[in-house]
Amino acid sequence: MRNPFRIRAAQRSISDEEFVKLFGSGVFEVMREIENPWDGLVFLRSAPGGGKTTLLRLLTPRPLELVCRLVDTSQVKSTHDRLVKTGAISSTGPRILGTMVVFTTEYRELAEYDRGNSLFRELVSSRIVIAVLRTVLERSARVYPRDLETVSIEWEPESGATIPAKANGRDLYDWASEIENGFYERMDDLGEPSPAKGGHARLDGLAWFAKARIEDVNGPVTGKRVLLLDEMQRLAREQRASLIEYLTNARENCGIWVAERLEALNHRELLSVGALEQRDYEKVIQLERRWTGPRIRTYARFVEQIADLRAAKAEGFEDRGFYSWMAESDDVATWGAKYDRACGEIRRRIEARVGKGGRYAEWIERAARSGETAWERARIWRITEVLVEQDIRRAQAELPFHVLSVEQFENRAPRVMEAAEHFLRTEVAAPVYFGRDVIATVSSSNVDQYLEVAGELFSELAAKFNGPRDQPSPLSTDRQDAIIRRVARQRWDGLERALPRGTAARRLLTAFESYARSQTFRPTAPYAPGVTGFAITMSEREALIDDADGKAKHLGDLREVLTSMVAHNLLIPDLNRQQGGRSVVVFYLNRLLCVQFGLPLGRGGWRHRSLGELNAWLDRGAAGVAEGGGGGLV
Amino acid sequence: MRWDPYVLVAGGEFDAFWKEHLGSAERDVLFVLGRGFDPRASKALERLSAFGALPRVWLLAFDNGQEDSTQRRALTAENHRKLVEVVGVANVVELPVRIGRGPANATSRSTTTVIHGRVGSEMPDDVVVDISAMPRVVALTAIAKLIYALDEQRRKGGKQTNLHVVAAESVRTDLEARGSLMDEVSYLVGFSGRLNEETTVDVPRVWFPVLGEGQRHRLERIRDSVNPDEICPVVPFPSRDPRRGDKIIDEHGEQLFEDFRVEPSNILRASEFNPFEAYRQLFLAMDRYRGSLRELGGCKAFVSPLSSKLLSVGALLACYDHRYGEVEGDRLTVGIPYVETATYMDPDVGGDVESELYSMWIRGEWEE
Repeated sequence: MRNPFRIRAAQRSISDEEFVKLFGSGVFEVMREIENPWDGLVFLRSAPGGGKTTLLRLLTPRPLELVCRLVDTSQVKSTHDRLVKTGAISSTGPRILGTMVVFTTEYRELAEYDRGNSLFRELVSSRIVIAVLRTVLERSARVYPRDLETVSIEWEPESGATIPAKANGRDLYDWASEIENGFYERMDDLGEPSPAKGGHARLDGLAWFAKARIEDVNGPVTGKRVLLLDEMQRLAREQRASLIEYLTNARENCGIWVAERLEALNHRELLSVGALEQRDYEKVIQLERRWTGPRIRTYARFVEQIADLRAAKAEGFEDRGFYSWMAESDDVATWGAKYDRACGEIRRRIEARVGKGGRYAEWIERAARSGETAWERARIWRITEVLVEQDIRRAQAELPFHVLSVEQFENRAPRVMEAAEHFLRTEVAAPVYFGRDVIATVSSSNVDQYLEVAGELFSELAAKFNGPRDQPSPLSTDRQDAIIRRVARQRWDGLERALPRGTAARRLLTAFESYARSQTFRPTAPYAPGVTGFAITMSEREALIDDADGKAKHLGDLREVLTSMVAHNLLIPDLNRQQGGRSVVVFYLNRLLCVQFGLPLGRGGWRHRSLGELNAWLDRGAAGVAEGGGGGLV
Repeated sequence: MRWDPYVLVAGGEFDAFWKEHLGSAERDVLFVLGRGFDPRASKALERLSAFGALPRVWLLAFDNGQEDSTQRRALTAENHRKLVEVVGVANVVELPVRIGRGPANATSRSTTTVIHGRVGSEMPDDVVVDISAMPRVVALTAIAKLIYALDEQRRKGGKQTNLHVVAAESVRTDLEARGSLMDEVSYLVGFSGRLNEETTVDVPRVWFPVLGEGQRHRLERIRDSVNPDEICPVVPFPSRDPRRGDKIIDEHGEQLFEDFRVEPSNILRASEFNPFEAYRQLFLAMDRYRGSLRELGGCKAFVSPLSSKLLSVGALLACYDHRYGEVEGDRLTVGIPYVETATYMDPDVGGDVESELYSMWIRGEWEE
């Protein structure tokens, strides 16, 4: 059985029909706040694998038409309804003319000799023209380039514009081909570089796209025009800046969607207060961040939908839901006795520390009486132990002989529950990472990362469904935990290779691992559920990213590595406002790194580190932690 | 096919060939070398100078804008000392090559530019490119540029300059030269494959990744960039380790068959020791696609050299011949996508490295 989780929907080898049947409509949640998505400029940003190209592909004519046609199939119905809500389609068919232009690394080569970006504008215009011709033919079910004569396009060119005023598709194709051809011939020339010719003063292609009257075999082409510009991170900085300025100011009567990876943004753009507060532009969708906070549940539903659509494609799996085959609790036969043994050990530890009675008598009594299952009993004991440790520290300033009530236990327990559970599972080497919520969480809001984890789980699950006499059972928590850890380890092993500053990034993370574990597993669980991020103050952030006076040259490496890690979703920045108005930027770890480091997955636990300390981590890895010492909360 | 028949010598034959070649006439020789930490950097030069050659040297000095480690600086300095000892400081011209800053193909463009700036009327009888210590993109670009320039020189009635490529081949050292990768896929100058040409975006793309060990990340990035319709992985066979091809397939099997949906019948084999055999196998495989898809509007072929340097030269020659050679009918559009190394880790090997010298006579007198 071929693993359907390995399919990358954006790849062109995936047919349009397969593509729409795999599309997870939950992604439309990220567009919820955008009032009119098909008017004006919308930025779609994410780390690699966030799902940008997949979303853009859906908005092109053939997938939209297929969604309308396949509305009665269970996989497509939800996508259809969501698209109707956004106004992209109606009961009569597509209402937008989505035209996709993909930027490529070649443009950067152009920037080397293209003064004023005029050749760049010319090339972009030619590509918009060709993309429109393909889109119109696709919409009328004609073949590109064979049927180009069936298209005619007319517009009133502004002075100096070279796009023909009135032409059929073939003429326009020839016009655009000449520009592209000149570009490639120059780029691929192994001989004497020829002088660059041509260039456009304006981005005529955009005005043409918005205003031209287009006719195909069915008559005038109606529908809201939406230009879909993908992979903008591949442009040179000055090209990108000039294009954004142009797109922002042109205010043409069309929609423009720009998709780009976060690596397009420099450290200022990534870590500016505006970006952190997500208020830089009215219409910026940063996919991973849109899924955090209150939307985490929605994200979990979205990826669950993706999992079910993919699993349904697998032979023999059919309508069985993916998650219904993921165990949510430990196997009692394997773990019951171990948890019971842990109860005894924890009790002995507590009694050795504080005796059998005294201040904690009621808590110990409560722990001894509670819990129906071995897991629950062990969990209560471990919570008790953490609370006792906390109270010992605190009691020095209070009345040490005052007996603590069960009510006080109940009040304090929720704050340490997750940490205590994590301690317990780690101590008895029980599975930690398993179940529906964990599988969604470890993807750190990135669809590719989710598919990687879920795909590995599915591989093992699928093996259970082979053979006519198999009686499949859910994937145990042990196996889920082992598989998720394996994926995390593979990512970690590949980190140095995958990132341009991979070695430095790994040193910094190794230091963080050492530090985070030392803080997380303290007996009092002071930063429950655990330390999974580090923070810098806003003034440190300014010193790091602005450096207008050049005083922070020694922070150059740190700035570069942090920026690269944020762009690749290894660190997720979060503006955290403190009491009294002081703010910090917390850099939370990608949750698969938490798995690799044996940390809990819950967010909220972080510690401030000075830039000097982070620099020491970067230079010396874990050795830098030992030398750098501790550090307090802001 | 331009390189069928071919001239390739290795091991013991290497000495015999060069002794005879250098002894047959008084020859002006130019060596093109990489300035680097690779312990094989000056092996071939030392050997040739023992046969009486006193070559001039173009030393391609790479600069990736980053500070080198102490170990790499020391190894590079030692290689340079040996070089100067052999040919004398006056015979060495350093040519700076910018690595990986700016456009994705900055390295390849920079290599083309520095060589273009030096190629001219004073070309020698023999140019020897030693690719042992060169990053792959620099090596392949230098070879392509020199074939082109020397062909042009001859076509215009100029001197018939021989071009040789030599390599101290050690699979082990190539495996150990690890580092972190650039984010972007780059294309060799001359071999963009017009991947993103909007007018031909619907033309089918066939990708031939020439596989080596530990290429998961490169494969993923190049696949995402090329977005191929058909994938034909090439594995080294025959090879020193007869199971090498199987091991490489094992290592990348899940990625190839599950993620990329490669048909097992598409796997090709290319000789690890003989770059001209690899050239032939790859050239013909590309040509089969050219023929079978001609009626459907043609196709574009992309070849990624991810294996040993010798095999990579074979891959380059196949692409070069399709692009510039004598081909009947419509040419294939050919691209060479690759992901360059951003930063190198310190090599584990020091001092002597077991390697075998290969010499390929790429163009010149033998063709007349």
